[in-house]
Amino acid sequence: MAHMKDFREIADKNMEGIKVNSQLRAKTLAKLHEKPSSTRFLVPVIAAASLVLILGIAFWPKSSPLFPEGNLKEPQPLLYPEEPNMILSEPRITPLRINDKGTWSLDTATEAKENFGESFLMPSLVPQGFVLESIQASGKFNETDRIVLNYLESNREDGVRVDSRERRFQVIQEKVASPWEVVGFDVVDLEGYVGFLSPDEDENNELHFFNENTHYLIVGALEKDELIEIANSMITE
Amino acid sequence: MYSLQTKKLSREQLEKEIQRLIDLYGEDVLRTSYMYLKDLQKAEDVFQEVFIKVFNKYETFQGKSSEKTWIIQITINLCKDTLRSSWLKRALLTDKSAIQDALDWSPSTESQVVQSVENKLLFSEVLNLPTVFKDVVLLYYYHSYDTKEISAILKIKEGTVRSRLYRARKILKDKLEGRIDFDGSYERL
Repeated sequence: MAHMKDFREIADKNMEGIKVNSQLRAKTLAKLHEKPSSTRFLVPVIAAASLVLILGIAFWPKSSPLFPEGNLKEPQPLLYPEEPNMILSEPRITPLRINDKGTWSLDTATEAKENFGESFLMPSLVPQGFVLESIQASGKFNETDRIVLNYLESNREDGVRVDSRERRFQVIQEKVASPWEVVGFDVVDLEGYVGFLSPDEDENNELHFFNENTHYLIVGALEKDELIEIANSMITE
Repeated sequence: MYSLQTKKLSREQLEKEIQRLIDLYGEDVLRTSYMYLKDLQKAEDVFQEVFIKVFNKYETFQGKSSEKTWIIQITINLCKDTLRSSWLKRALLTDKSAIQDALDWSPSTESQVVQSVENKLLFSEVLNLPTVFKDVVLLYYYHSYDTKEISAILKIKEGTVRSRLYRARKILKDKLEGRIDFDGSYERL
């Protein structure tokens, strides 16, 4: 019989090996000196500078004073200093790998359907005042496995957002190996589909449902009734 | 209790203060992150983010709660951000391998070994709880906060905390098929 009152002791025993070692401590303290904003600024600057350099080399006139025609030498094979006997026959360029995962923006629901496939569901009803702010897709090259619809409450009368009372919600659709039961959530009926609604009233609520191997999640600052209404509008679309 | 200094500190003093906080609460932060994320590498990433945030927001701490409460609150929020931004959430909801391994294991007649397996099962099931329940269980049973303090940390009503604790205990009781004792607190809430 396990005693819940001993949970702290039980948990610590199970995490005996999880400790703040000197390496983690030093890494954390070193990071206090980093300035992420300047790094963020430097990345596009370095990228732009590299591009200018590459273009400059590619289009530099051969008869320019820097490379007078008469002094041009036959190109020499390049050698790697660490591998002195290896001649470079081809440039060492890492190709874009097909398995790289990425995230990109889409403009319309039609695009989202084209990317994600037939299982993409667009809500036909959203609570009054909400507008679709953006659509994000993610996955591997040519294989979208996740779509996120971001909705934002705005003042539709004059088109100006009321930021102080701004509410947001997301509709997430993702391909999964198989559906699962969301333990501890309330089971609700969604036009014949089983939905899992987060328990209790909270600032943020969530509703999950599945259709074959697609997981749908509506999450955000909405009432439970609103979540169900959105889900039903997707199913009966 | 509210020992964070509110006066303006020099950079050097602030770094010393962060070192003190790491010494005092580092292990709690790392282990709490691990219990949310179930991945040591990700827990270590959150650990670093927590203390960077404490460093950057140090002067905004108003002393309304204890320094530990403030740091644990930051930890929980960052863990939830990590869960939201990755597919880990699904893994947490579905990962039953640990408990299955324990169930498949034949218990020895040695009561000590049986107890150890039951404790492992309990730990595993707490880690598999949905986040809304794990929040309250970890704050109540691991960090020993009362329901009022948990209500302030999670910014939910105290009644909601009690009802989530009740439901979490029910889930654990069902999952562990009676091999768990709440010392009467299950019935009381």
